[in-house]
Amino acid sequence: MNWMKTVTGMLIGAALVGQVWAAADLEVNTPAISQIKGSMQSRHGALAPLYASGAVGLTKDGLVALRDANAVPLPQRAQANQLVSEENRDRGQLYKEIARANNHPEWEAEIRSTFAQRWIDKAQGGWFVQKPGGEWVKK
Amino acid sequence: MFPYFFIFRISLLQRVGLAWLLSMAVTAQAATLSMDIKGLSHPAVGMSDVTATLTMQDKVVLDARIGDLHWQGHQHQNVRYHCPDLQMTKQRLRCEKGQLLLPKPVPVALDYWPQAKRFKLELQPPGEYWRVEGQLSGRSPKIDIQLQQADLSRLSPLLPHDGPMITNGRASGQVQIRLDQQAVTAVSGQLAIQQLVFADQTGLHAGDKLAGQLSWVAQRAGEQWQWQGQLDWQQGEVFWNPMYFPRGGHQLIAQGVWSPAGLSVDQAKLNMADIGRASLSLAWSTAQGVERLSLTGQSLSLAQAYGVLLKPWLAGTAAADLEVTGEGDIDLSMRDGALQSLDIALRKADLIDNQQRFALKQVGLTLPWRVDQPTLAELSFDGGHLLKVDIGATRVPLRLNGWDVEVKQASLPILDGRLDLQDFHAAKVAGNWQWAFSGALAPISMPRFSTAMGWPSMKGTLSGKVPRVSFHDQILSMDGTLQMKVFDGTIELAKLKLINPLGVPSLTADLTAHELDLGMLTETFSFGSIAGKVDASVQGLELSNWQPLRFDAKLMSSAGSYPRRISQRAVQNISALGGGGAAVALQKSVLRIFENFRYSQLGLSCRLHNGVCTMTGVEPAPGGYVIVKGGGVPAITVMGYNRQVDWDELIERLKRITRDNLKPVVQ
Repeated sequence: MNWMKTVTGMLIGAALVGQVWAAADLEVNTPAISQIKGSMQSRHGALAPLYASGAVGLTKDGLVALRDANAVPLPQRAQANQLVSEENRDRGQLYKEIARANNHPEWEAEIRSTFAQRWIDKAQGGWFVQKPGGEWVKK
Repeated sequence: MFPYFFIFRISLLQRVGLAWLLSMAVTAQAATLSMDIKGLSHPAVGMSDVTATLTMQDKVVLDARIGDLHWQGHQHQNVRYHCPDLQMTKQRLRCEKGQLLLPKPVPVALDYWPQAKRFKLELQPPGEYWRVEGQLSGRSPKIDIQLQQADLSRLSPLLPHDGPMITNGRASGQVQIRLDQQAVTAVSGQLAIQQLVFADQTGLHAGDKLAGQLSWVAQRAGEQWQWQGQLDWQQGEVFWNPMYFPRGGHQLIAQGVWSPAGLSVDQAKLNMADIGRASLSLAWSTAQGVERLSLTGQSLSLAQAYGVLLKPWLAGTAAADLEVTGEGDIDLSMRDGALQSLDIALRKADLIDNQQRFALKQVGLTLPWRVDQPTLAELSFDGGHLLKVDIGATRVPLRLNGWDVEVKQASLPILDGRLDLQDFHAAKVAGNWQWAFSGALAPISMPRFSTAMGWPSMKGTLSGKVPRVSFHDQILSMDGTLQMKVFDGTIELAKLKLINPLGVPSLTADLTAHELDLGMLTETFSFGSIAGKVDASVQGLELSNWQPLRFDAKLMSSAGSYPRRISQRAVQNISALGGGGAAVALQKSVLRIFENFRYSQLGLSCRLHNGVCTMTGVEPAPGGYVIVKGGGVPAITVMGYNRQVDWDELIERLKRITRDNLKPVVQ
């Protein structure tokens, strides 16, 4: 029957996609990746209060954004801006490096969106995260 | 009770129409007069949907509601005014104790002289005083405003919603508005402002606790406004993304012309605290942006100018985190958004990278740049360092031609040698800088170089011809081969490519070494002594952030005739590299009485992939491979058994060996 063919086709397709994904090692480690992770780790101390105050939120595309600089005292606002752009540079590099370490540079976009979901899932209560539609919600 | 209707019209100004529609109900106790005022309109100021109700008892009570009020493009809805005791004479309407019914009522005294078309409003919220006096008839209608400690946050509803909002601030002073029958013709004022706080929604443009004096005169001529103003910013901080001004002390005097088509500023004088004086002129059009800009500043303090004005724009570049001293001049002009000329002079400038990557001391720069003609510039410095290596006093003459920079020849002292630079050429292509040069390294002593780099002290010299080095698309690459003379032999570096040097760098290269003196090499790394010579090669080297990802490395005795001896300690160390075993055997055997052994060949190779080094030696042997092949008397053969060694583990072993070998092993 026709509908059965379609469903079977879809299932096989989904299984294939799943298999490709099962092959991606998100925990892969290379010197570049561990360096980027180290750099992000050491920046986290400075970013954590910005997440907590709502000045910075986690975006739907695996980055961070300065969503309300008014929550940061004026003298630290430029630095907050800077932290956000450095963090985003590291995150962009991280996705690229993980794709590269998996020998599939073309997986970068999927890796990014998987990470985006991970960051949002791991975000602490009170932090702001971005919904797929772009609106910010407090977790 | 009977209804009574009538309509009449008062002409205020020629084009100010005031239409009254009244209904009056008179009862035995009180008469109520309702007025629907259709509109009071002037192109600059007006109101519509106005109702006023007069209740006449022993006093006349006025309740007015303005449905729609507009003022220079700003709209307000539903403004209400209540007057408990309206004094009415033929010449004058007066309400002393009126209240403007905002969320918090504001006392407003109102005077209106209908025949003279004159009004006066006095607003007295607690601690504030606003007086607005208007004369709307005659040859020169005008409105004068007096403020004392006026709360500026009341102006926020008047400001554009997407711009900065004022949340706090007090102003005292005057504003004078002149009108003709069409519109406002002149606005001038002098205001002293205190405790001003403003921010836009994103917080990227904000000020806090600002205090200062502002005075201005603006006059309309047709579509244009001629203006001149003076701002004395005395206190308070401002963040105007990405720049942060921590305190006041800045003055600006400027004049110019504003029209809906654009803004021009003529000869503005700017005095910035701790930086210096500059003058600028500007023509900006709404259609095209900056049409013309010129900026001149002399003897500016570089420390402050860098920190406040430049640093925010340099994030992500090599100049992002500097400590700067010295002074400089600047003179630039732009036309239609493009730079036309730029003159920069730096004097006695120290540029020190806070991340210790480089430092240049006493930099002097004379840079006259013109978009359409070649010029000569000169850069000099007394010394400094680059990646921990000292560099000496240097003068570099530069030939500039548009976005094209050329240095025919320059000499950069490095430690006790120098880099001679030839045919340096940089150009901006499609917005990105690319450059190339070739040159030669005059001998630098390796002990000094290796110490500077924090390596073990190496013997020999570093010299050679530097083939063409180029940089474009974030890739630094070297054509040809760089040859270094070190450990009495030569090392050649080829296919060098450094990608993304300012981010997470990755490097690829091939390295070959000929006839390195093993004596010098082993002494350097405290490995136990080996007499002999080796050839080495590292093919397909790939580093990511300076950590090896993969390579194919081989080390092999050089061909030819030379003494070949290896010390017992070196034997033990080589064995230990392969995972131990042999060393223990050696210590237990009769061979331990010998200090040195002879060998005929030694060799070791490592192919690194996925963090694992696959090792082989001179030749295969049962269960392993030969690392040192014996020859002569006493001879020794060192075997390796582990073919797969974790790279981190191997490095750890090497570190342990070189560290432990600082003291000899006593049997």
